[in-house]
Amino acid sequence: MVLKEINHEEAGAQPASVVSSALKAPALETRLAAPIDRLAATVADFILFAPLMTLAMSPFKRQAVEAQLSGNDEAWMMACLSGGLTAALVLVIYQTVCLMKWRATPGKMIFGLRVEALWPEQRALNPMSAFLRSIVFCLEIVMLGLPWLAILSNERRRPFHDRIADTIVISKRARKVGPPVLSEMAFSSGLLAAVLTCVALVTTFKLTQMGFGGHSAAADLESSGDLCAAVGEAERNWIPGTGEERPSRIGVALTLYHADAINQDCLKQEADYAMWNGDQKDLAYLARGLSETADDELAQSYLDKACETTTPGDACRALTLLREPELPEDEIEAKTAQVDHENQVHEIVESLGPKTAPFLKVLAIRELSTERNDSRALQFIDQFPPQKELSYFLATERTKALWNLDRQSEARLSLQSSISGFDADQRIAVSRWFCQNETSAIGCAAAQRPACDWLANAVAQDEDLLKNADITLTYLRGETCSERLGEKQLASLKPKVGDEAARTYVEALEHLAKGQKDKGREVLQKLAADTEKSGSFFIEANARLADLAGSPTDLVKVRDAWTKTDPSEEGWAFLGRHLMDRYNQLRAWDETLEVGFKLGQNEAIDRSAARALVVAAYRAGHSRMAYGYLEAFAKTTRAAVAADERPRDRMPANSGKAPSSDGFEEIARELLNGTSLTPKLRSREVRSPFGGSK
Amino acid sequence: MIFPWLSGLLRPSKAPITYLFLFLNCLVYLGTYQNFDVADAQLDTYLEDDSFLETQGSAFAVMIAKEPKAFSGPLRALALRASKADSNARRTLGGFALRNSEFMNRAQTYSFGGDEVAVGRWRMRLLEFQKLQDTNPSYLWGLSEKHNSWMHFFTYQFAHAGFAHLFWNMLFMLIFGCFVESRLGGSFVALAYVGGGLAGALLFAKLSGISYSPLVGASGAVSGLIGLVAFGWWKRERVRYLYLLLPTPDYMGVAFLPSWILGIVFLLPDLSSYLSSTKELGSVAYTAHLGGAAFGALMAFAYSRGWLVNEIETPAKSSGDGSSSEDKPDDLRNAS
Repeated sequence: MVLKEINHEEAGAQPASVVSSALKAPALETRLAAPIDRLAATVADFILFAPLMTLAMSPFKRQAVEAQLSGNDEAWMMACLSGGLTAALVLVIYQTVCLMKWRATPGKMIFGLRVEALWPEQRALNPMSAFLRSIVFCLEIVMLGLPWLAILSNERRRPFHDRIADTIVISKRARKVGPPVLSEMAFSSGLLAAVLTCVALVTTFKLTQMGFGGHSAAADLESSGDLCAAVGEAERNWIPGTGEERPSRIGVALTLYHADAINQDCLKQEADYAMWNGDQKDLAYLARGLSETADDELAQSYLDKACETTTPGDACRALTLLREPELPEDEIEAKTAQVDHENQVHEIVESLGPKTAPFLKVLAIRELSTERNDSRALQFIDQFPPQKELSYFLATERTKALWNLDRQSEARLSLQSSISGFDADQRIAVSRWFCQNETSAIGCAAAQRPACDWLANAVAQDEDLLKNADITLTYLRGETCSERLGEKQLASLKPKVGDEAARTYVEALEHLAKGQKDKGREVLQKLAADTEKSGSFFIEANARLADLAGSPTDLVKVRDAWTKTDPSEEGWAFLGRHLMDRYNQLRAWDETLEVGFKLGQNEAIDRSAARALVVAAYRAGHSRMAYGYLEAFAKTTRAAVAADERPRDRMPANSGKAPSSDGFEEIARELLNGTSLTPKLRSREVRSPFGGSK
Repeated sequence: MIFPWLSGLLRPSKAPITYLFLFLNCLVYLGTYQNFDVADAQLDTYLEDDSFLETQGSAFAVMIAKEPKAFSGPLRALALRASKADSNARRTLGGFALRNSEFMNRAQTYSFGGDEVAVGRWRMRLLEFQKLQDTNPSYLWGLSEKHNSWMHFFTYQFAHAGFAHLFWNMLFMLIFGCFVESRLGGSFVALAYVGGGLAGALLFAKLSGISYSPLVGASGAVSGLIGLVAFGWWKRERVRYLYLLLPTPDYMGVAFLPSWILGIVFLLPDLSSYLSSTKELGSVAYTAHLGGAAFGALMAFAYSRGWLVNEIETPAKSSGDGSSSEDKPDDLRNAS
């Protein structure tokens, strides 16, 4: 075989006998087959050969289709491989037989081409040469036919399959060509480079897609045909609570869904599966109804069906917790219906026990959290053994409940023990909530602010977080409290902040840091004047203005702004409590009571505000009112006060009977005259600002 | 690309029977295409509705799981996937269900269990779908489970599912019909067409089974003509083809090649496709083509044995080479 083309120069270096026999070439060189004839011959061969090849491959094609339908990738791969090998085998036989018998394939015969042995002593192709040529021809097809470009560049127009078999293709017709000219070689090189570049680009693109492709979870589920992986994992690892039965897969899915651990697509897939394969169809119908977003009527049909299958089943009870009552137009009837519904909800929640399905417990926790019945919510939370998929929900709900129950230390501990298991987004969300509450409820004086530090770290690692106005607001609060925001820090922070109102607020802080109080106040007043533009910074600016006020009259504008704000808006309670605190500090007792009363009407009194109310009422000379507030405070905060009050988180220094800075303990003791509060006051009627605790 | 041109398209006066069949096919198409288009568009709305197909697939999967012996391996495998909440498998299975008579006949009463809300909605839509099918000319003229009287074995040969379907069938019918009629006579065309169509339908019924989805089109009948030419002219004369190997003048034109090439180009792919497809999955009736071609081959055999008599004196007998001087210009003779 002659892998390397014999050149005339090299031939000159060979022994004379070899050269003379090798150079049968001069005779052949002048009647080489034209490349276009060879291409046309290949096309003709393809037309004749393709149906034969398809026939040979058909059983494997059938196997591949069947494997694809059954999702058996291995069988599909085997069928494709077998089909490819069969096609190659048929092609090799076709070529070998044709070359041995006629020295040409049918396509070549049509165009008068012949495959000749290079050596003069071989008239016909020997079987090994023909076989070898055919094998290499097949391999060249796998290589996208690129080696065939040698027809345009090789001196005797011999691609690799000709060189390995020591053959040459000649033409017996008038159309003959000589060795390739320069333009052919250039075209060949250019085409080769272009094809290789395209292949490289396509390969890179495919690899990039495989490596970094943004497949959504839903898309992955659809393509794999599997069920939701998070539900499967949770079901396998589920630890039932004491006396609790192991929940079904759909029960786990519903639990995770209500705990915001899976999305609607995931729930829908689980519901579909449970519907056709599971036995708890009422839960499946409930899940299907909850996951249907496109068609309200259909969703309603599923929810109705959930209650039809079993009565009164868990699905039915869950529906009562989830559904808003249908209220009649008549106001009185509507009120009655609302009360009935609330009673139903209350009954269901009260009927739940440790053996209750976990998804119902999750719903109950949500309901109780909304009702601010935090101690009951805590009972349900504590019934859950550690579940990885529910850890975020349980930890945040436990933390919130503890916080609302004035058990801040435990809340902090709960958060600290679980935050390491959260992902980055969850960590930011929870630290934001916590920092906001620490700074707004406890105030800057509190020493324990790890949540604000977590948030600050997160912002330091990813400054894009400052494009979110809410995160920026909490971050600024935390950093202001920590006194880490100096003039320089604020100046460098300003361009990083994405929100226009936030930038203005930072500007105000910058003025204040420089000691330019008037300028700072001016900028804050701009923010405080426009609710729409300022967004969440409207409340913050007003709170800052309250801090800057030197007398009760300076607080009039802030109070007006607060009065005009809808109590349902986020930050309203914070500003109210801030305002009340400031009035209290300025010894404006009547204003304190007025603001406190409005906060109470909207159930926005926290422990600190309640204490302030008692003190203000007492100082303003309304002892009876102070007494009533003290009673309500004791009930609402569900804690003992006065002499037998246990050490509080807020007052590490004032624990036990030590006097407090606002004089609350002394006032309380005086009002109670040293006796236990709760039994004595239960029969008294006092108008309470705490709501529901009369 | 290689395309049989044979004697080309002759004038109607030279091939009246062939043109009569063309006329009948066009007449049926013109009479039904409006209904067909409307009904087809309406049917498409169901077939493009994922929830309809997915529920149908889930229901079909239940039936397959309950009665596995009645269904093939691929369908059982697909049903298994569909039961595992694989929406793609459900949709695919839902599509196959439309062709399955067993399923379609029992769909309204079968106890599927599962998602009763979705099944209830799907059943209502399926009823509407079936009513639409009853107004669709493909179902009225075609050979299907619902319409399988002896008459439908003939009427299906004249109904087409769209213009493209009609165009290609009629083009090949004209090419082969004109050739056969000019050499053997109109009765050969009529026998090959009707007999090929009938044999195609019979073989389809035997090998693929008459399904809920109708068999329509003249392709079985045209295959009869192709089989007659491919096998009848095997040793008689070379026939004319148009070829296009490369888009340059030297590599396209006319060539006279053996008629067996027709077998390679037309019939072998049908055989391959039949062998590579499963009964439930194919949408083209390859077995009908093969049945038609087999009938054509039988006619060729009968003619060679003298059981069928040529109606006209062929130019081959007069000129001695089997092709008329009119059909084969001088400049093309050398091209073979």
